[in-house]
Amino acid sequence: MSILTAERIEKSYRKNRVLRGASLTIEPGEVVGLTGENGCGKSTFLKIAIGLLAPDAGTMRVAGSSGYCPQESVLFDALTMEENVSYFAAGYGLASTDAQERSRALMERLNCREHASKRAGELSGGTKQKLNLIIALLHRPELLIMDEPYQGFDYESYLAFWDLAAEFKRDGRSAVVVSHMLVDRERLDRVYSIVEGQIRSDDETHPRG
Amino acid sequence: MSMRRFTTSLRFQLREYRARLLPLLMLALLPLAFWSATYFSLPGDAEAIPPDVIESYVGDVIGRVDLTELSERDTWPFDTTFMGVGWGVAAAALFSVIGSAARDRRLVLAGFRPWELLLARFLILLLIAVPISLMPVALLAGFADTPPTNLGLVWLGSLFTAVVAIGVGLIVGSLLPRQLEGTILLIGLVGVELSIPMTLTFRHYLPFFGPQALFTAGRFAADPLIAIHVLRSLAWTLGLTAVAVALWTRHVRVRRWGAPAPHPSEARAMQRT
Repeated sequence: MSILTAERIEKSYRKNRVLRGASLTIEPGEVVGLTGENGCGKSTFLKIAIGLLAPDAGTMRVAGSSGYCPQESVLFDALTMEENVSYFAAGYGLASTDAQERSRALMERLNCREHASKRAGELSGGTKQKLNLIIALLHRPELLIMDEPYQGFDYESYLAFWDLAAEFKRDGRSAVVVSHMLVDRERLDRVYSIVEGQIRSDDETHPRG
Repeated sequence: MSMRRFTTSLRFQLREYRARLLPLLMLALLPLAFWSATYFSLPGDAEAIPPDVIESYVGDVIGRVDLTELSERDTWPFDTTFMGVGWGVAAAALFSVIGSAARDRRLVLAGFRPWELLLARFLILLLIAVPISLMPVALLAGFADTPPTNLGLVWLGSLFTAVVAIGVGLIVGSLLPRQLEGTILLIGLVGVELSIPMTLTFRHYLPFFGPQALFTAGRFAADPLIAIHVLRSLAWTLGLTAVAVALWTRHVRVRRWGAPAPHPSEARAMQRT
């Protein structure tokens, strides 16, 4: 069974038709890239997939739990990194000790463990984005949806991100990475572009000679 | 409701508020600022107010009361504290929701219920509202030439003002996306209502009438309609809170696409057994 099935999704903002019948299927264990020009509807598609927006038409189905890493960090600035994690862990229904272990391991992997006791408002942009990602990964979702997830990462953290993605895939989980510029195409199982409101396989949009 | 989710939300929202002590203190001092601005600019003699003005000021909520010895300093300045409580608490409620939509939505995605988050916020706002509502009581006790007949009733009126203001602030915050528009609307809603004379019949059906009637009754006389004003204030509190919860739930709602299915690896394992 596909983990995500989007069929003929349409979405307009007043007269601006952003998505015009966008369809996409993601299978378990796939890491998929979604790209396109600024304003082409990538974030809109993701927000519909995660449930933050309703489509005007079309159907969306997600078979399993999902995690979402938004483009802009959505965090509690007055809380420390650890407290932010504990807050979301309560929502996920994770036991405190499990959440702590998991978050420490992820902080270690993403090279930000030393900031664990700092308030989110005092963190650099890159570290905030790491925390943003850790919260999305915390409950080991079956589908991870990420909008420009490695913005502001240093090179080592960027590589750590792809290691995590590969691990995710090995576990049979799936991920969608959205970026207006995907440079690491070889790390992805498939790459799609949104062109004129429709999702097209990269082979269609950039045929290889 | 999950108690763990609720207490976690309460704990972390309290920490968020603790980090905003200065703006909260400024809001808490609004009643004092309003009072001092009017009190020191008005005469303190008892003959300054014509009887018809007194009547329109006190309205028909008061039974038998002799206000001939009342000075201007004993009237409007204390009313402005009442207005200050309404504005201060409504603004605190407004700012608490307007800035939190994206974060609340993410918490809802994680599994929180919108009303768990809003209930925790309401309780914290109530905690903030109690000391703010004591400000008019303290000023009346310390500075009124005509001592209030029932300070407890004054406080009840002031507290209800604060509680009703929480509901108003939460509703405005759920409807308007930005602080500027929200603040302007609050100034209009609270200020306009409290400027309408108590004698006008339609004023009786507005949210701050009950609390103001209790406040006035506590200052000057035992009002025979106290129970009705309490019920009226309670009804507005419950009604506004219910509307706020409904609007916020709609504002931060998340759609769930299809029933959660077992993870494919688990499904395969289940098929094998």
